[in-house]
Amino acid sequence: MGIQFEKVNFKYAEGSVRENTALVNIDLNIELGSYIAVIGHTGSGKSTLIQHMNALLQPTSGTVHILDKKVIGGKKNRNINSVRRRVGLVFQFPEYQLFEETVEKDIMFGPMNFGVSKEEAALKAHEAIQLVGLDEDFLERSPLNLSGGQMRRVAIAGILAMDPEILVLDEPTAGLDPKGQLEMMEMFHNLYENHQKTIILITHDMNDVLKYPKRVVVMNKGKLVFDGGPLELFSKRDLVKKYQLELPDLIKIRDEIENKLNLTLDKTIKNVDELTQAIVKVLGGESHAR
Amino acid sequence: MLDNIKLGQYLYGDSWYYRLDPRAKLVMTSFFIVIIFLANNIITYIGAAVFTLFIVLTSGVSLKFFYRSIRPIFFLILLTFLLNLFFYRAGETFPPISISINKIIVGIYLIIIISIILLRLFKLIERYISAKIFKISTLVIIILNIVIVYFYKNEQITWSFEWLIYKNAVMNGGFIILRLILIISFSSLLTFTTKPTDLTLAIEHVLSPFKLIKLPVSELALMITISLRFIPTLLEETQKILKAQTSRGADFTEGNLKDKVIQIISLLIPMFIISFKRAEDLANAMEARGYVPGKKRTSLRELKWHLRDTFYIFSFILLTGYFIYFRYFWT
Repeated sequence: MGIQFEKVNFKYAEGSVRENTALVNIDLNIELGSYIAVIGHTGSGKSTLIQHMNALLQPTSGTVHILDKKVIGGKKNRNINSVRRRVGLVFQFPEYQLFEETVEKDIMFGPMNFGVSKEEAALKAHEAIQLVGLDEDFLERSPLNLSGGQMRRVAIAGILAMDPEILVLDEPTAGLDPKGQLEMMEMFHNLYENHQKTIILITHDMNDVLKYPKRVVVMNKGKLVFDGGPLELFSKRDLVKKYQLELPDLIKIRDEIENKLNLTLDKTIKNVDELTQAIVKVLGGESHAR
Repeated sequence: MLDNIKLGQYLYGDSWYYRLDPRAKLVMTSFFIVIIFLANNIITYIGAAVFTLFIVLTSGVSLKFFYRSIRPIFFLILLTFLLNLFFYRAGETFPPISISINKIIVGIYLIIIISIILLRLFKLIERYISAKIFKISTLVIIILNIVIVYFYKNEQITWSFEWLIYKNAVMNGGFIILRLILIISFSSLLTFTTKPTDLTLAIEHVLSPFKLIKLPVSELALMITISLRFIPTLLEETQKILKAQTSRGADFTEGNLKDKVIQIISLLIPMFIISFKRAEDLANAMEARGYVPGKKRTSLRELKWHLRDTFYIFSFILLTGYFIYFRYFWT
């Protein structure tokens, strides 16, 4: 019982001159406890898709089942606010949504909107700030005097404090330095592995797509055009080219080695160590890789 | 939530009206709003209507856009007409209409039905609401009729009066409606066919005499241009923050006043921060490109006066003459 899309269509500004079809006949089933990447070219409908996942946008036609709630297209759906606590949506550049005097108050804003008491919300704030890898001293500081990366962590902590079962992330690493990006992605992986959160991630970084999720969904012009494992996607070169996707560095390097040295390497490698081992194996040597 | 706000009404197109000098369009539109008040009888109003209709029809802008700009004030128009009908009392009247209690009930019922149909037509209310109102009002009228028939079984209904409608009231109401429609059509036409940048350029030119009294006209014009340029951007940002806070459980439509204030703050503070940041970036970018306030600047687009602009102005002078003649010298 996660999120199911059933024949979902969505049009922006329906019936006006600016009408714009953003989603076409989407069927998608996301189980609880999975880690899914959503990729696609700019304007392919990724952001529109994820905004359906916590009923910020409601389908023009079709149905979205979110946990135990049902959002039916073309109807007025009531009492869907509660679903937003259980499906936490982190927008692109979430640092702009900070507004309170202290980090603690800002993190407490979400839980308290959903009826959590002040004391309990403060407790959640303490938990959440540690989850995102910041010191508890930050709680007393003003969220507007932090660095960009810290602000983003605080904003994400604000979502985590609501204790959502599903975490939807729209390019959470955009604009961070490489170290910050890695830490951020490791943090989400930790939430997935050790806190049993369902993670839905929009990203442009194919290295992350190869590394973390078990499943990847490709959007193109409002349609869902691929649904499968990352390795399966990157082995289908015609699709990668057709939808203007990039290849992960690792696969590019593997290809290059195969071409230059005229070898055939294992197609299932997912990290540098595996690549090294594969090369060593093919060359018939002994591995010194850690 | 903010989807229905329409800004920058400019519609791409080309016609003689598009090609007119924005200064001529701007000044003459204001001029028209003034001289329309000279019209006071059928002949002058017909003249004004024909004149406007001719320009509107040849402007190359589809009529549905005019309808859209008139639609929001439809109720204002209706209200003005009704007020006129009830409170204007002079001159001849139409034959009196006798009114009795069951006529009023049927009348109210009809008004409800008609307004439901109209509201649905303009998509102002949801379908289920209109169905509910229809059901309830039908039920009420049936009950009322039963009650009336029961109480007044044999006797005639005693309560009734006669309502007089003055001919001038209808006429005046009609004139006011027509005047409003003409003014709105003309000013919409200006914004439909003139790019915001051209419009500010025209404002700058029209206001340039005020430079003599040290009014910073170019700076004002630049400020207008920048504001117009950033309204859509800031709206987009607002929408984003709105969605982000909604995701954090903020409910901008329901809840009590105290909650609402906090939730509005959660929208306002980020918007302030974003606008100040944008303003700072823009100021730096302008300075980096050599902008100095008060210095003479050239414009990318130079306005050029053509013969057609003179003709356009001339047509308005003719219209004014027409109004004055038929207002003062014609009986």
